[in-house]
Amino acid sequence: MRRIWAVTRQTFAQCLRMKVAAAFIILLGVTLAILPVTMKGDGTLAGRIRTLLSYGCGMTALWLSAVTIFTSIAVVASDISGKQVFLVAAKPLARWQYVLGRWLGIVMLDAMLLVCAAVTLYAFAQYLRGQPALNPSDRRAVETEVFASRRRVSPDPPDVRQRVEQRIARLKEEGRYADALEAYRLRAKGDASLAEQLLTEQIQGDETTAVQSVGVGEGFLWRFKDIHVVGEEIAGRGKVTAVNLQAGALRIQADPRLLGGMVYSGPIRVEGIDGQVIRLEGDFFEVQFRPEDAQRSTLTVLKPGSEVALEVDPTIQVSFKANAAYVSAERMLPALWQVLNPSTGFFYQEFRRDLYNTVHTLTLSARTVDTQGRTEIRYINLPFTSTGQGASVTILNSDVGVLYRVGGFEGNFIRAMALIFLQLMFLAAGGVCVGTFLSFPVACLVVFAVLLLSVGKEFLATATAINPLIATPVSQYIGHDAMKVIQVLLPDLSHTNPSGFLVDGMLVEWSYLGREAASTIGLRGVLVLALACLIFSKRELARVQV
Amino acid sequence: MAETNGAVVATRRLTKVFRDFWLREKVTAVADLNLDIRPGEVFGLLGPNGSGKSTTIKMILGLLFPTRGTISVFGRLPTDVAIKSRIGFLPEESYLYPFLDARETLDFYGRLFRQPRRQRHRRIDMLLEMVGLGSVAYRRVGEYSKGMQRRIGLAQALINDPDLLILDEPTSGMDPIGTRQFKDLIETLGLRGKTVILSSHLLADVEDVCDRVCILYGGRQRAEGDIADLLVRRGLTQITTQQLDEPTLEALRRQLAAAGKTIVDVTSPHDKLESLFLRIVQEAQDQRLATGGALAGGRMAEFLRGQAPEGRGEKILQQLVAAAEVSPPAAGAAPQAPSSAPSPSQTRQSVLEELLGKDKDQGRGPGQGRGKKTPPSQEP
Repeated sequence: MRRIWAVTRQTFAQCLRMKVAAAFIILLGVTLAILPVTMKGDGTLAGRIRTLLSYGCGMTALWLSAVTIFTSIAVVASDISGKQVFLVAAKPLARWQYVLGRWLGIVMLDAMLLVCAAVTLYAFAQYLRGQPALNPSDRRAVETEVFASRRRVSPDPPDVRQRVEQRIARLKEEGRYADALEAYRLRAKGDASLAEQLLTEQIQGDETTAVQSVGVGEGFLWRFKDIHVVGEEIAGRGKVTAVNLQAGALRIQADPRLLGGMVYSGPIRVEGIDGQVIRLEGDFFEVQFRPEDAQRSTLTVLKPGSEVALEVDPTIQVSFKANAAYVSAERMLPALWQVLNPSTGFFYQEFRRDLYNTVHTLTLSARTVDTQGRTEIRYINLPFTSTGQGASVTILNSDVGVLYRVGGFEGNFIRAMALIFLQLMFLAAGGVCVGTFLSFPVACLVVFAVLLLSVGKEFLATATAINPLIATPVSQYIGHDAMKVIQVLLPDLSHTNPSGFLVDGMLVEWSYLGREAASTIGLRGVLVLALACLIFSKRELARVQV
Repeated sequence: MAETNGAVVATRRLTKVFRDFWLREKVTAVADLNLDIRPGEVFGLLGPNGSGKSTTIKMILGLLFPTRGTISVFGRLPTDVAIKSRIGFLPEESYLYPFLDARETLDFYGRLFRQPRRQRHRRIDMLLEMVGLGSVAYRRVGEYSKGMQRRIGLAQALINDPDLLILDEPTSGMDPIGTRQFKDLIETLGLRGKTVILSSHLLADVEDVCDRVCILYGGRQRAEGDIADLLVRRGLTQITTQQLDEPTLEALRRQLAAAGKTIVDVTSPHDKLESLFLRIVQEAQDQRLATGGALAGGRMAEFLRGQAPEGRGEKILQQLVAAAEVSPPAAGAAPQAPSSAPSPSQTRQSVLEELLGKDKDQGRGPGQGRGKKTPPSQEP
């Protein structure tokens, strides 16, 4: 172990003194420093922060991948071409120890660079978080959709079995079933059971699409389960700026982070007394109490300037994207949203007009979820005008979901950076491996190709997929089989890109991280390193070709 | 595995053929080489460029694999990592990491031998002083001249006090002072029972230090044997005496003629240019003239002379010896017989052996005697 550590230390020092590494480090630093200044996003504060996180993660992964590839190859290939390896191999150091030491040295460099990049990115994100938001909903988006880690739950899938059976029965009644089956029999190359299966799948698809569209005045009902909000209420202090207890209302100035957790008409506790947020504006909010509560001595003693303890319930969000074949001139789709706690009957409803074909988020109190993690959401498609003119609206099951906070931003950010680290560890293993038998430029080319194949693995798998129902040329089979080999040998590095998680404030699950670690490093990284050790052990280091 | 007969390095019909891209045999670098390099021997590999010297050395080190034949080092395969802890290697070029300074370089290689920190640092100090680079120890090796790089290369080869030292063209790029020190070092190591393989085409260097040589040409062994046997010109006798005048010479000629012999050559012996050079440089250094390069090396590192009190034991030893040297004899104490009273140096040596005996023999195989020849008396 001490020998491996000696090589690791030496590799780390070598990388720090290599000019190529220094150049990349400077580039990364400049990129990260420029991003928060130049990136405006959609103009909102949440948009700016999302853009920063997205580009910041992307640039960090890109630059560090390049640094990793160049340095991991250079430390081995240059040792061989520069013959320094003669001296090292003459020492009591097993070849596998050399390979492992080199890899660990690069991994150590990656860890250091990644920590620097992550700290910079985090600092800039926090700096932007402290900037003024456009409006309360912008602040809410910053606090509940970006600086959060949330889990997403999809609604129960629509049950269309009955509709499918009815439609098949109707086709049979109308005597059209045999004709329909005949069309599929051709595609199934005469296989009757396969033809029947294909027809049923087609009908199932049609019916699923049908139930995901509603006409004017009609609505969807989605049922969700397994929503386990673990976030405690946000607590803080505020300063009373106006008192009108005859109307049962207080106006309070509060910290932006506390305001970010509040939702219009959502519950709040002031000095332990339940109230409802009736107005959000800048750094202020107004809270309304029930008349009997407004007369309690805890509230009646309050004066402008008094400090009060505040507690805000956790929230959930409903994310959706609505589409319509026809929209009004302003491209807005009016709708009524109703959310019900099926156990307590707590009910929330909101009338909204949302831009079509865009993802929107509805934030509401977590009281709409019962203790068993269930909630019901109803969407009613409203007409554009009072004359009843409207449009049929489609919301796919995959386009609607409930998001709920399960943790803070920091832990999620660290896990997101760990995903990038997995990618770098694999690339370092690849670089060290090809560096043992290829020259520097050729090795770089190979590892960059591996990187591209690994990132685009899903796309390539789709592109080379073979449809058994269509005649396929031999060349396509070769591509398909080659892709199968790649699928096994290479990890899917698109899974280690954390931008999507951070931009949407989505939780990077430990289980996900573990799975990716096992797949990327535990399996493939170890395989690549073992290959490197084998090649390097069997290689004549002083071989000359004549 | 070759039958080693106790040899440190043994080769049997060792052959190395280099191939082209299509794996066709193109160059036979070494052919049917049989060598037995014995413990404590300073062995010279001689030959012109391309004769197979470096290829042989690379096979001994496991950097190249034999095409045919066998090779064993300390009775094991050259690729066996365990034997590497007993080998020191100075390649034909220095092949050092240019971004490390001299101290970092030696520290790195010392770590590969798993040397304890204190011992490693002590050896580094001694080696840097020995090779005359103590004053530039924090300059990056990439900034060194070739000769300075050779010196640091030599230091790294000695960091583990190797039992087998392999030197490939060791004096190339080195100034005459370094060369002289080099030869002194090899002599000392030879006297300590270390095995040295010296590959060179500088015949004078080899002649000065080697016990046995093997001359290679075209990858084949052309001659092998004790250097004295190979170089002796049988049938001639040389007498060196004070300068003779003409009448004396004439008298000698007559006497030899009476014995049926003739004088083949009469000359005055010349000083070696190396000796003249060393004298001039020594004078310059005595006058402390400025130089930005390597200084003449210091004394040979103690651990290489086999006298190194290293690590924990050293302080205790110094205290013990100092006490023995300073303490006056007690009043009235009976004078001891000279034969039974150990001298300070004997005391020191015995305590050293007791304290460090095991450490000194670390890594040495059984039956590898250290004292085949008597080390020179070099009290620190």
